[in-house]
Amino acid sequence: MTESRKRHPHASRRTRRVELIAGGLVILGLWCWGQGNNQPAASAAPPKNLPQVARSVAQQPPIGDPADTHLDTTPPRLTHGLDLVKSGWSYDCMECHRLFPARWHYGGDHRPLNEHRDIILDHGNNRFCLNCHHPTNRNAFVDYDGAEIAQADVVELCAKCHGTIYRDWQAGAHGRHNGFWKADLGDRTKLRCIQCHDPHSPKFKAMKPLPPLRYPPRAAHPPETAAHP
Amino acid sequence: MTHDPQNEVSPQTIEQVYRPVTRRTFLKGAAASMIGVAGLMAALKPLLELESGSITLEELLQKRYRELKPEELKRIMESLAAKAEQEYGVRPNLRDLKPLDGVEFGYALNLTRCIGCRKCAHACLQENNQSRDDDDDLEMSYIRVLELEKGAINLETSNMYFDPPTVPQPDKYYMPVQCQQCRHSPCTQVCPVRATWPEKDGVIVVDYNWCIGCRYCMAACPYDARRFNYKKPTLKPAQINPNQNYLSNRIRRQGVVEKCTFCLQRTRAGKYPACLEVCPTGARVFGNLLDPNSEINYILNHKRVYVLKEEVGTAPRFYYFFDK
Repeated sequence: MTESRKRHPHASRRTRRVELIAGGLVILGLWCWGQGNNQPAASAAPPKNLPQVARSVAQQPPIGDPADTHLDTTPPRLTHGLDLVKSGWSYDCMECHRLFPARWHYGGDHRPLNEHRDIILDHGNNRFCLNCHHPTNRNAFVDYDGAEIAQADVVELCAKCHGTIYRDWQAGAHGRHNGFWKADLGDRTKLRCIQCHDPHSPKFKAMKPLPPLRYPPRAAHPPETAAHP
Repeated sequence: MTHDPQNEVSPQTIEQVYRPVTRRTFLKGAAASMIGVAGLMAALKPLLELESGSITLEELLQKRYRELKPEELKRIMESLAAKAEQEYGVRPNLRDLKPLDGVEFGYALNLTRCIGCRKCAHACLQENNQSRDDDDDLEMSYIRVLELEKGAINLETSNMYFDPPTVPQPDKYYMPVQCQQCRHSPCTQVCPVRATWPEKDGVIVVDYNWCIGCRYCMAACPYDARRFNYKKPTLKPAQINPNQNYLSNRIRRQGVVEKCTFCLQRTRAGKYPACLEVCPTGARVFGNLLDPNSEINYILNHKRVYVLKEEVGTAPRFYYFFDK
């Protein structure tokens, strides 16, 4: 507020702005109250036994140097999916899963799987959601010993099986770096596993290639007979 | 006195002695003088260009890059920037970044990861201000992605015009080829005017103001990594990357050779090259060969790398490797 006061010396405009903000707050408060008191407001701290969602995948920091607007540095996975996140999903899985426990919790009597039916699990011999997801805290992943791996530390989850890739990734030989190779001149961003690989189907998807180059100039369309065997 | 055939003078006709102007000799002389005049005109063409303003006096009287004093280079770059603004509508931030101390660039490419999407080749066009007005301009990208049959590294049967609906194709693998920044570079040794040379950090550069366009270097390069500006580049103002460098991505003239410089304007400022920034699979690794902790040295120490056309003895700074 102090900043806005400095920027807007006209008193009438300032009071109008304050009125608007106050009105908005009142409406927001009423809406939250109407939602029921069992659900804390979005800005409030999550329940004690749940870890804070460090940073959702959709809100990753910009990749590479912001000055490079002419280069498309979007990682391949974000360009394809995560529609839930794009449509405003908060990425707090426990919003639903505190009410709906996993199917395993029903013992032998499986309830039908009605949610997440768009997910086709094609990841090696993984057959169960809870191979990776934590059974009681769906905002986290599960470690060997049942401990929680925070969402932001997803690399450690993948490292459970893909140790050699993890080693290469740490050394900078797997995955992509963006920004500055020289650390004292600027920041380097390092893509994490799930920014490129869909964890449910990690094999890289085929994509359309960009148009071929034409070189030498008049060999733009080589005749079909000059086949490359 | 005996007859000596060697000293005998054969009799000559008067026509042979005096060579009068016949129709044939006149035409021969006229043709020769026409060629001479044409050559003189061509040699004086820079003066006409100077008068019309398409080149500046600095450019005409410029010394070679390595003999320029800093203030002379600054003046030349200012006039180049002004000319680019006049011709292309964007004033570039033209700089002359010098090699960093203790840095020698190296590049590694993971052929197991490359899927042949050509994003690197097109990012190269965007970064390096190549002509992009019509489809034929695509030829100027410094990177050509080859499609090879799995099972061998056979460049003779490779295809660089592949255009399937999706890549990678199951029985193919892909090899992007660009300038290998050789330690024993044949291209720099054949240049008759020394317009191309290796810099201290290993990058082979071209002085576009000094190149005469003879294309000897293109013939000498075993990797076909050099490109020739057959025409003046055409670029819309929105397509121009204003971050430009004298020795790398400033907009070239017609009739000069250009090549990959590992994105000098980026890498000497500490950034990654453009082709690496856009690679969707992270197949490209770039770094400082002299830094033992760099990513490129991790590759060289832990992976089985090979260089392209090792047998020609160019000792490239560009390495390929396969990975599990």
